[in-house]
Amino acid sequence: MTVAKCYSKIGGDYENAISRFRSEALIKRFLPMFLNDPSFNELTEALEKGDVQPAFRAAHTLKGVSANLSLARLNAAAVEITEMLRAENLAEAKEYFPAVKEAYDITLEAIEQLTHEMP
Amino acid sequence: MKEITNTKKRTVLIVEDDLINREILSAILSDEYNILQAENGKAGLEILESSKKEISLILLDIQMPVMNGYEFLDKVKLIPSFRSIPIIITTSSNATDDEIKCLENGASDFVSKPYNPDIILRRVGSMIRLREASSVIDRVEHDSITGLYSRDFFFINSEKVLSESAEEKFDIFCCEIMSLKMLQDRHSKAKTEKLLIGIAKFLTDTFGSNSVYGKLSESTFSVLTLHNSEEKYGDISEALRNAVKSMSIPDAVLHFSAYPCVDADTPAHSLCNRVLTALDEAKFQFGRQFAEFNDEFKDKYSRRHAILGYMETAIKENQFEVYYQPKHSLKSNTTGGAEALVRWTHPELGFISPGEFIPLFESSGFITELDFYVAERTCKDLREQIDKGLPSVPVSCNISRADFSHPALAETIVKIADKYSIPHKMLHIEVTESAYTDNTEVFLDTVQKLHSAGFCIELDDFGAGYSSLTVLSDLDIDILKLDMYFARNMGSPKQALILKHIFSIAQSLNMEIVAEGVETKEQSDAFRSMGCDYIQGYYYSKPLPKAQFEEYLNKQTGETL
Repeated sequence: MTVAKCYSKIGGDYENAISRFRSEALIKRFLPMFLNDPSFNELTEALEKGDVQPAFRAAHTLKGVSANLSLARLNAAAVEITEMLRAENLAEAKEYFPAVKEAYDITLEAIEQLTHEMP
Repeated sequence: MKEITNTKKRTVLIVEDDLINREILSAILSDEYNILQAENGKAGLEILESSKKEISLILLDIQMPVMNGYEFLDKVKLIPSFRSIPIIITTSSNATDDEIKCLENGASDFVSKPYNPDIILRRVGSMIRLREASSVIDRVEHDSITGLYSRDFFFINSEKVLSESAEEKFDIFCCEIMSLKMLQDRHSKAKTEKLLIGIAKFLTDTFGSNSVYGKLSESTFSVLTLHNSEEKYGDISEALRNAVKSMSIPDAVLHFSAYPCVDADTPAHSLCNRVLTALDEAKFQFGRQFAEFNDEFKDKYSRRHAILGYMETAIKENQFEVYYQPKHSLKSNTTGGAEALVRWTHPELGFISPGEFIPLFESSGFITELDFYVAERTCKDLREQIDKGLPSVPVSCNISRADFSHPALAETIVKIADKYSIPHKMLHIEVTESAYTDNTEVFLDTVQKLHSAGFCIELDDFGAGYSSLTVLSDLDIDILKLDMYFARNMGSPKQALILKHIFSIAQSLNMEIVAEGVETKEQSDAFRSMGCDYIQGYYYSKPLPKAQFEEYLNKQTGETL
């Protein structure tokens, strides 16, 4: 799988990524790091516990990372939930959370696959 | 501006909780910068503390666990040495409120996620350049060792404080380390700097955060503080002197001065001038370490100012008069010459002693104008005496040590004498040894010119201060004038011996000798027995105004006839 294909599979913005990083090599260096990024798990845990501030912080981080990696679909979901949590609207955020999870799962799976195929 | 052009890699600190974001930033910047990373504000502060001098810029995320960006900004703001490091906020929100809040809290700029490498490199680069350029200014604003205001900025900030509290009274306190350069040679630069820092700390601890602190020179500290009638500056000086004993150079000598209870409408620089004048007073009086600019001092100071303010008008309005003090020739037992002496009676201040105004004029440079004035008046008076057929004697005029910086001193004297067609041998020039020590070459050259032009050279105040016999061999001296010290201390066997040798040297070098300050017959007789040529002093005559001097000469001629 090419990087471009990976991006298209996960609803990412390859053009944006390549225009910023200027080389696929850099993208290939950063994308696999997302596999270990704790922000999604932190968000999940905080929402389960009902801790709105840690949830907000985690969502905010996820929003930043996904933006930086041009993971557009995941980023759009992260933006949504971040704003809900900024407004301390926990119920709405919990209700919205599956959309974030879906985007995240797709992203993670594709990146895992890409990573496996890397030399 | 070498800091800006040097090509050493600068260090950027990234404070951000997310590893990927840190890595991306780091990847963007690592070609041009050394990167330090911290995963939250607390870790960031720790890195700052351990390597603050190397960090040129901080990239700061706002949303972080443990210590967020706002808390980090608050902490950084409190520490002066951190405050000057520019901070760029990395934001992923479109919430401009956050950004504004950061800028208000001391951040310099922000960049938003996703990171655009071009924008980040440009922002980081220009922010570092800006900071380094302004830190050149900052270094001028603050003394680099103590962090206190530099001279100009002490004035500016004092002025600000004074104008903001027009109703208040203020105290200004000063202290200076004696011979700082010598201390630096003897100890080390590090120890000297420690001493400076120690003194700065003592002052800031003593006077608190509401005072303005300055370094007026490398070795001079100043403090402007609200007036406190309880404050005893002599005691503070004593305490500081004791504190220095446990600092890096325990034997450093300090002088102190204070100007307490000043109105806020006094300009800061004149406050400083006054307190520094008092400091000079403390410095130049041996054994005195503290001087206060009080009312007595103020009177003295304002009188000095008045004298300097009046001098120009005084010369225009002919307030300076020339008096003549006869030099009695012991050989002919008549007046053999006279010294022209300046007298000043000011319409308001009354009689001002030459001992008071001459040192002031010497330091202001005005003395040269006055010396030329006296020379001209002398020549004019001599001309009149000659034209009227009155008896006349050679008259000596004083040339101050300060006159030797005049580029055409000898030529000007010649011009003045020639203007009144005075035979050059009728005009004597009195110079002092101090001028010889100031600038030997110019001095010798000028005296040589005057001597070749036919003027008699008299060496004034000989034996006072640090006399050196070399001046006698270097110089074409015709007449040696013994300082009045010798007349006043007649009778000591040691001095008699010294005088005997001076006379023998003078005679072997074909110099005549004038004894000055002779007030009694005994003194006069003693000098006569040593072979002295002339006596000048109250024993024969005090300095006389022109008319009386002419009368004095006339009477003598009558007697001899």
